[in-house]
Amino acid sequence: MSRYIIGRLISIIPVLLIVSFLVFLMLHLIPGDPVKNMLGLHAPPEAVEEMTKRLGLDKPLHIQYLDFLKKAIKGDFGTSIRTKQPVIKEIKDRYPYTIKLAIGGTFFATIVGVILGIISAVNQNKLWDNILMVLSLLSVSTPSFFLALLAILVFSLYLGFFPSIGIQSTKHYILPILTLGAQSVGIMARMTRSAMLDVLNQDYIRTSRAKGMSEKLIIYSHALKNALIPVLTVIGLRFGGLLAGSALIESVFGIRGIGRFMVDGVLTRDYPVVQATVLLIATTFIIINLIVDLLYKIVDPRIKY
Amino acid sequence: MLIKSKVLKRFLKRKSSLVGGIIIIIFILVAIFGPYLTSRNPLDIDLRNTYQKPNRDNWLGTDNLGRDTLTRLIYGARITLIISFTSVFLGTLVGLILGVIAGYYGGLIDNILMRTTDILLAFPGLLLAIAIVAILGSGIMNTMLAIAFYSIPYIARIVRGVVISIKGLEYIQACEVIGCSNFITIINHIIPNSMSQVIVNTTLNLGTAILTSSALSFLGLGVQPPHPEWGAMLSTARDVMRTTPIAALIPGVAITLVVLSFSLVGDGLRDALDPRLKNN
Repeated sequence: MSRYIIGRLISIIPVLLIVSFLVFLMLHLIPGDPVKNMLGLHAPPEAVEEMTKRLGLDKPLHIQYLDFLKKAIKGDFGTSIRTKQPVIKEIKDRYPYTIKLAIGGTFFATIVGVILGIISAVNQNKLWDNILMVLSLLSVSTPSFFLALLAILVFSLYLGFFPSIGIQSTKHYILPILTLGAQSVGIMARMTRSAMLDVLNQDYIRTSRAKGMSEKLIIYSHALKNALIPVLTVIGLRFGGLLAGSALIESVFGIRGIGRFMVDGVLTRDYPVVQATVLLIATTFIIINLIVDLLYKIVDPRIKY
Repeated sequence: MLIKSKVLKRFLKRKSSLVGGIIIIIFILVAIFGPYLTSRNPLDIDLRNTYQKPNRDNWLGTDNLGRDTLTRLIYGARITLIISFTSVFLGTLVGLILGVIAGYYGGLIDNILMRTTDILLAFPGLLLAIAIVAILGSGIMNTMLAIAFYSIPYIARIVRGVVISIKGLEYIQACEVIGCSNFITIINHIIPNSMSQVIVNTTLNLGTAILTSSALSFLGLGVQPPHPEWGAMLSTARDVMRTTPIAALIPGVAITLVVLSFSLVGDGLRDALDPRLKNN
């Protein structure tokens, strides 16, 4: 097991290196001169020269990348062109909000999605199954930002249950987490249903029934455990979706998170901010998927390394 | 023909997919013939009539600049249709070519292509789209390119899997034995036999493309004002949620309905093309 963990840890290093290289390249792929892009076409030549030097753009490409990498490992992503503050300082302030939203959304989606998926599978092709599957499809098809606006309209403006903006207390997290996770509820429910149906058709389930085992015990002790393996993969993938999707939710609820920081960076051509946030979200996603990989062993002892 | 009519019969049997199909046809017709349905201009500003509730002149009310919401919705369908179909077509075409090459030839080229898709899949979809917009800039064209680009690795992986499973079958080997060139085998046998998977995924991708393009426009990174894109319309309307909620409800419901329809049709096509998958 420990050999596998070390092996997997080492295997993400090349992925991280390539991802970081792509993020580094972003600045060079921009059509035209990136410095003029940031400062405006009519920027004085001295300012352009100063910025080119500050960003290290006057050096050869491979040296620039090594510099970028060295600094990135230390958490140094340069200073924001807009706020003139070190990017890392803003990230430290904002990252916790986004992570809390993504983790909350994933938990919500997993718990509700798995429960709905089980109910659907057990009632296959009956009324409840049909209703739940239509609802799950609806949740997958509704844009999260539209759902968030609807939630604000109903629960904040009309009913006054929850605050509509900001993130000062636990209560502030409820609507953003629910609206961020809603789309994934449908995905989880469909995945759980399909995995459960696969398992429920296996021979050992028929044997358990023949033995006279109660249906409840069969579903929860045999079927669910085995159905959770494919669901686990989806949890890892959805987490990435929620991290990126938080940009939308943060924008609707006025939360100062990483996603909104990234979007503001793109809008104002603040490339150090864009590079730092894209790299951070991609790295978090890679690490979460690594953790999911390792969790397989716990969920499924048959997997040998 | 017999197979096609069987597939169609199975598809039509599923009521929800049929409803989805009808909604998509209406959506496409509105997008194409939009300008004939209304004599108004979606960009015409009337500052004396901002944020009107639905009335006889403006059936769905007006927006922050007094522009007719129904007209903007109709023209928005056109933009949504162009972005989603073009980007998904581009992404599918490139993904299909790369998937076939990787699956059919295998070896080093397969390894290189699949490791590249691994890297691209390390970026969550929306993040990749935002990163591409950050490089290329906003606008309709770049939104299409961003969506096309991020759907390539998904399609390539699916097609590769299908090609590998077909490649080992006897009729492909028979074709090779009688001396078919690789090109002929791919064009005449491999691609037609992987089409059902491609069609299902393309349909589902259309829904995802609409969600992504509206998300980008909502964030101000996609289609720029004054173009009447549905996500951008929703973004404009959010400031007046309390007083004129209908301004946000209309584009939001339109996006949801069209995306839902593509999902229903995609599900229906999957069941119709491969009945073994039914119930799963």
